[in-house]
Amino acid sequence: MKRTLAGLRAREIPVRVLRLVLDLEDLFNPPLMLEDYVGRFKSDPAPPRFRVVEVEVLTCPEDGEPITVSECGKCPKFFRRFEDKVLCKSFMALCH
Amino acid sequence: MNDLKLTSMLQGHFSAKGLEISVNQLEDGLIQFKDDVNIVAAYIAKPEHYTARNAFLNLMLKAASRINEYNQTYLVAPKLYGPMLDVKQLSTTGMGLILYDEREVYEAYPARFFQRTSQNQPSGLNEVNAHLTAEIQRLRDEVEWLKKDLVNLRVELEKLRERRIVEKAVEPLNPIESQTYGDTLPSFFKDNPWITVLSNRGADLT
Repeated sequence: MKRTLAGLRAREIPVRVLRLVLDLEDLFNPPLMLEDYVGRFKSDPAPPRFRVVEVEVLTCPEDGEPITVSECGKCPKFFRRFEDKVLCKSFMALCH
Repeated sequence: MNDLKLTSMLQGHFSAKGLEISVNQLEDGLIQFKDDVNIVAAYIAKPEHYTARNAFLNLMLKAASRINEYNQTYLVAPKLYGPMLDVKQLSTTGMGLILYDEREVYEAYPARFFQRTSQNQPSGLNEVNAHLTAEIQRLRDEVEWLKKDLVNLRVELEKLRERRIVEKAVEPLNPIESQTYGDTLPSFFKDNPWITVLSNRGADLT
C-alpha cells in the first residue's frame, strides 16, 4: 500500500509474527509453528525442553525477499514502524 | 557515532526549526533545545540502553514522567533499533521519535505539543494561592462566628418569647371600682382618692 508521508511516498509493509517452538534437547527436531505444535500434541510447549520464540518477518519491497524486521534498520529506505506495519520510503523513479 | 557528532547532527536538525541548544547533558542522555517560547527535550537512547536490562524502558519512563516540563519530547535512537520501536507506544504518551545513523537524523514520528506546567501557571501562583487560602480561612472563621451569633440570638429570642407568653398568661387585675360606703364611715373616707389606691395594694405583689 502506498501513501504520502510528509511529502514522501511511503509504503506500508505488513509484518508477520512467527511463533516457533524449538526443541532444545533434540536439535534435529524441526521447529514447529506454535499452532501446529498445539494441534499435534494437544498441549502447550512445556519448558525447559521447549521454548517459544517469536520471529517478525516481512517481505522487502525492494527485492521481494523475506527478511526479519531487525534487518530493516540497516536499510536506507526504512522510515518507522507503527504497530504491525513498517513504513518504507519509496523514491520516485526519475525515468522508466 | 560519537557523542559530538550526534550532538551536532541533532543541533542541525533542530536549528532548521529555529531551536537552539540550551542544555547539553548528553552523559545523562538529555539535550534541551529552546527558542523564545518553547523548550524541546531530546532523550538519547544509547547502545547500552539496549544491552542493559530495562535500561531503555527506564529511559522511556523517565521521559514520560517529565513530559509536562517541555513543549515537545523526543526519543532519539539509532536507526538500527528503529524497527523494534513501535511508535504507537510512543504516540500514546505524546513523545516523538528521532532516528539517526551515520548519514542522517530524521523525525520518524512527530511529538505532540504540550503546554508546559510553568506556562500554564503564572509565576506568582504560589503567592496567589497563599493569599486565597488565607482569605478562605478568614471567611470560614467569620462564618463560624456568625453562626454562633445566630444561635445566641435565637436563644435570646426564645427567651423573650417565653417571657411574653408568661406575661400574657397573667391576667391583669381589674382595678377595684369605687365602692360606695355607707354613711357609717367617717367623713374623711368620702371622695378620698387614696381609698382606691390603697385598696389595690397587695394585689401587685401576687
